[in-house]
Amino acid sequence: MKKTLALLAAATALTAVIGVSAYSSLLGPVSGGGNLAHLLSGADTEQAPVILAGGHDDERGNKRLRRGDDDHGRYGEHDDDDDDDDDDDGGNARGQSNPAPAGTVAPPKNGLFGTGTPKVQVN
Amino acid sequence: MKSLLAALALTTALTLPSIASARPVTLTTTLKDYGGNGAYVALYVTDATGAYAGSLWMAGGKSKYYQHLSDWYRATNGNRAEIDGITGASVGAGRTLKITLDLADALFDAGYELHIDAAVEDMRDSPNEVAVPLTSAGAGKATRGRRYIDSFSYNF
Repeated sequence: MKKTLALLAAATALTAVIGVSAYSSLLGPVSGGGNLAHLLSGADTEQAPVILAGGHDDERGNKRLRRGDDDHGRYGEHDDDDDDDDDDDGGNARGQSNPAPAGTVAPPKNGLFGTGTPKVQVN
Repeated sequence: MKSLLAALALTTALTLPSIASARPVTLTTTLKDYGGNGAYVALYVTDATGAYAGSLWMAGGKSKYYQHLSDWYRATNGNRAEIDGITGASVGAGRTLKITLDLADALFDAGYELHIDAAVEDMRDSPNEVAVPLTSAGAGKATRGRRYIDSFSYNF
């Protein structure tokens, strides 16, 4: 009887461990370690919500740009520099790298441009 | 001496049209105070048949977000070669992006249209936010956007 109970307890513990692992992997990386205690405590509620990269809504115009899991800061003009530092994966899911910034190479030869260098200003 | 002059005349004749066939055009895009992070903005051109002709500017440097500029992305398949050398930072809410480009004269009064797609983090994507015919008469006239863009205009 004791042996049966011990086996039952071991199986229950093993199932719980597997279940939590699977749940964690569904949620993706969680800042702060992503362990069980962290998940259950509801910590990081002030952080941006965990986003599944590449998620799509069906309706045209109802899609939303969301930061990827590999980013540690919200993207935007004011923090682009920080983002660039931790975003050396370089590109999108199709393995395409980021484009060359203006001024580093000539504009594309698509017949739209003359020979002048683009000038940009943000006010 | 005569052959030298002839060569000079020929090179001048060949050079002048290329100089005259493009001019500086300033594209001014002012964003609304939509209360979100910096916007990714793609400016591109379609020809008289509505086919994609090329990109003029990409505001936002990370290619992984370009799929949210959905009309541009569909036309280019996200090809970075389309925007190499014409890419800058994303544009904050309420800010004005002013780009001066040396653009071919052939773009004006020939049925070309300039389109703008915009996307903002955690907000709805906005393809074809602005669509404006490129004409001499349209220079200096402001066009309102649908969601994130307050106004767009181009000036020679």
